[in-house]
Amino acid sequence: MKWVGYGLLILVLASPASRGDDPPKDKEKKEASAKEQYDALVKEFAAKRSKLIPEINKAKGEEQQKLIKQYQELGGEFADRFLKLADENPKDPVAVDATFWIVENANGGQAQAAAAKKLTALIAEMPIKDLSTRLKRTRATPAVLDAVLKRAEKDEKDPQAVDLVAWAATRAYYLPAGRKAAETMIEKYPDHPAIEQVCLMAANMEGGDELLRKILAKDPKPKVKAAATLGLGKALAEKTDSLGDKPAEADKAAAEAEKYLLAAAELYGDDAARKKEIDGELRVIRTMRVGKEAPDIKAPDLDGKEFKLSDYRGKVVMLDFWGNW
Amino acid sequence: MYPHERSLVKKMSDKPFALVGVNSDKDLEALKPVLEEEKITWRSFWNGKDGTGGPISAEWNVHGWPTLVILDHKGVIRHKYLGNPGNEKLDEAIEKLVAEAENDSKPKK
Repeated sequence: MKWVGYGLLILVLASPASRGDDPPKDKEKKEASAKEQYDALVKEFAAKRSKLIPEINKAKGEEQQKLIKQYQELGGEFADRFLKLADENPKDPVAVDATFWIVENANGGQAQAAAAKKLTALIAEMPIKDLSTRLKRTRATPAVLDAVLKRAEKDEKDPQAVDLVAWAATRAYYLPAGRKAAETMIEKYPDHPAIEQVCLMAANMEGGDELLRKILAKDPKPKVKAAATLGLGKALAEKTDSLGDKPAEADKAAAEAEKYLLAAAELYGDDAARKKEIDGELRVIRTMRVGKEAPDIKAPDLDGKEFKLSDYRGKVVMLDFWGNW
Repeated sequence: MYPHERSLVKKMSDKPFALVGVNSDKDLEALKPVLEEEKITWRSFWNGKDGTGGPISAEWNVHGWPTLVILDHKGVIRHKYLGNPGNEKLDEAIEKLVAEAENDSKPKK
């Protein structure tokens, strides 16, 4: 029933960046047509997909499964056409976009394997600056991540290579390679503009608390210090909630989380949005974390009849925040 | 996760356990046929017309769905999970707390 999750895979593909050079007229014509073909394909794909959604919602049982399968395989159906476009216009920027498109949208199959190979070569060779720009609208899948980090390693001496590592660190914090990229950023580039974002992302990373302690131990610049302190407070709050079976450890983590959250509030000073965020975290860690008595809920049920959470006292309750989407 | 919830409710029907929902759908009319179809018999609070922006999820600082909070029989929060932690892990946590509850309700010597 949770098929709608695939909606997350919808990607917004901007049109490829125009090139700065001044091509002869006939070449310009050809470029425009390749781009037009590409745009038309993207549009056709999006239209087909959005048509499937209400159909899936309406269908039931086997029919619904069939439609869901169609939805998932739609990218694969288009892959050959994108691949053909890329092959026919190897020098056109559209070839790059088409290759990325296939890797992101096709679900396996020959075209995707071919595109993945092409993409690895592209990432290894295209100018780093162009690659950075392209990555801004690219999902961090393991294959792309791997190729990007290899490139960053190869061109380590290039000052722009660190942007590639920053992309991996902020976009793929949930993958081991992303975590490693975050570590690299912290070890080697504590002054990079993305480091603040890396700190905040690290709150959601497994073992993020250790990583953030490393940053703080380096006595970073104020902005980074604030972000790392907030990140650490959040990471410890998360940790608290995973220690339901170990009350003493939970208490310790909660006390530490509170300490860092208060410090973060101080460091952020007048930042109203951050203050609100920190206040929410503090309220939860003080009153609603694991080990605390839950506040009562008094609200109507789905038929409009009021009831209370405390009606269930004496029973174990699984409170399930859910929605049918 | 409906199938597992259904089996959990059934399995625990004679135990001190309750599944209570906090539903964040905006449109309750559209939800009603789903309740029937999926045999969602457990009671849910409604998070209100603002859906995921409603007052209950705000009060509980819930920012991801589903979030599961498990309370023991004294009303103390014992586990919080963002997303289903896995049916086995979930059952184990619940069964442990149910055993605690049953133990507590036995007459003390």
